[in-house]
Amino acid sequence: MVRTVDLIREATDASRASPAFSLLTLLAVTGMCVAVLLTTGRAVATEQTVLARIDAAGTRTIIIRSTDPSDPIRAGVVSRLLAFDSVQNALALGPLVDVHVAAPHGGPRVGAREVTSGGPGLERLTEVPAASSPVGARVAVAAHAATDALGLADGIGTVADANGRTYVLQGQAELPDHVEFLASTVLIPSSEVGGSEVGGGYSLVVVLARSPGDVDSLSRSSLSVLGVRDVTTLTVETSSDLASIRSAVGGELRAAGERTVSTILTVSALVLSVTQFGLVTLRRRDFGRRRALGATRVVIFLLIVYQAAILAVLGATLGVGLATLVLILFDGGLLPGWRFIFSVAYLAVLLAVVSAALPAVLASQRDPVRELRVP
Amino acid sequence: MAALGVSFSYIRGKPLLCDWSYEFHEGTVTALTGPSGCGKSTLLYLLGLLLRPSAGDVSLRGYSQSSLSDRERSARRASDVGFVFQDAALDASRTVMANVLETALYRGRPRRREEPRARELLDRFGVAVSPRARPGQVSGGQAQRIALCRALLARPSVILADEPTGNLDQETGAMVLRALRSHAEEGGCVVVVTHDPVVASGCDHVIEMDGPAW
Repeated sequence: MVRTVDLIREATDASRASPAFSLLTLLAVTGMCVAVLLTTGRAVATEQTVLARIDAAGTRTIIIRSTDPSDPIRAGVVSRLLAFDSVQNALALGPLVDVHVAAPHGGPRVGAREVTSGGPGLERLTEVPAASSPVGARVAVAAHAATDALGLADGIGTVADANGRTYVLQGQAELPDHVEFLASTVLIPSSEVGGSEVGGGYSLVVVLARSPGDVDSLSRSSLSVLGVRDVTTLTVETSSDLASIRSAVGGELRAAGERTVSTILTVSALVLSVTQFGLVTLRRRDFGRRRALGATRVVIFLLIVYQAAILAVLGATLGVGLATLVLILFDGGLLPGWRFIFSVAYLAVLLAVVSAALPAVLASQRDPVRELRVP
Repeated sequence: MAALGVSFSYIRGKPLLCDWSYEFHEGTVTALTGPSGCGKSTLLYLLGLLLRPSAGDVSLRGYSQSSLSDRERSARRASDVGFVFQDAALDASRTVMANVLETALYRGRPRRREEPRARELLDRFGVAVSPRARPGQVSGGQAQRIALCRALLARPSVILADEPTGNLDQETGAMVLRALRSHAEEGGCVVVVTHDPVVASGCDHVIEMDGPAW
């Protein structure tokens, strides 16, 4: 029984023995990896960036507004929404009230809402600070647009509502992309317990679905947990248009990528097959000698396939390294992701092995006596 | 080793060998002579299990070989048969040592375990080159002795040599023949295909083959 490790060593030696063909195989595989990564790989990286931007812009967001103040969205809605598997996070906002800088009294007025939130990504809004300021005021959160409007350049100060309740702002907050529309509002984190703090209900709910595909079904099913008497008083905004664009962008780029990859693979397979056929034709006498000395057909087959695989692994490593370097140096590091890169390398090795298989079968089936008589 | 009623043809209806029988004994050197195309090398390849007879059988160590699978025949070639070709047929890209050790691969033996035996053979047959030298750096006589070392590495019972002195001068040829003879003296069976009457006269048995049966 021939030992695999010896066979691999023999294949490595055989690669060194035919440098021209080895170089051709190496270049074909390297070229294939570089070509795929610099064309389709780049397109995939761009697609991922575009889709991430579309997603961040709100393809997964559902905004539900209550238009009837006498039939508000009931307390406990965030917990009920989070019970859906398809919900990543949710926040409920109370009715809009005006606030202004407390001292000196007056100045521009800005809208404020009590907010209750839950789920990953909204931790900043989930934290309900204790009434911990020295004067017993509650803490509020505001993005730069709101603090700028209030005239608090550094976002630090105290604001008061029409009833004289004060809220302490401790700096400018960064809001997640899908609630960026609340940037000009002062947000007052509150506990959802009883909902009493917002007068027993909410006027606005923002739900972030886990994936764009969940948006349609979630926009319907979430209505049942809002606790309103008449759902026709609710308005639901979803980003179905963005979801369509997302799907179209993904589909277009994928189709273009598949065409490019198919072309590159076909050309590479052709080059590799021709190279391997050339190699086994030139080494006919070598294979005849090996057969006479005791090599089985399987050994001849494996020698050729291992040789192609070894060169392909080297070529793929070189190609991936080269393409990654080019993308990092000249394309701002826009990489298609390691899974894609690894798949390209794997595909290149597989293609080289498959291209070598037929020449290897032919070489192993040849009559050794005839091969030995090759001048 | 014996050929038992062996027939063989490359072209259907035109047999090169027809019902050919002979028993090759251990400890002897047998020469196969005859005109070109009479089937000497073909008989050698039949005895060496590289070809299958269309009729008859080849027996090695008393066992029939014709019914064996290709894999089993390859295993027999690797362990029981040593080939020496006219042009030595060394791998020019490998070192002398790697060439001698080649059959270890096909027998599944680690090369380093066979290295002492390879060195011993190289010393015994006076291959006075570095084991790291390449076949291109050695003379024709030394290349043929390296091929002989390769053939003997597995301690085969049979050595089949196809015109082993064909490309050598008289003195070097004699040296190669002495090496073959020494294998026979150790109990091996040697069959040599040759056109050279001097080589044939130095063998224990000479089989003069006729032309094709047709």
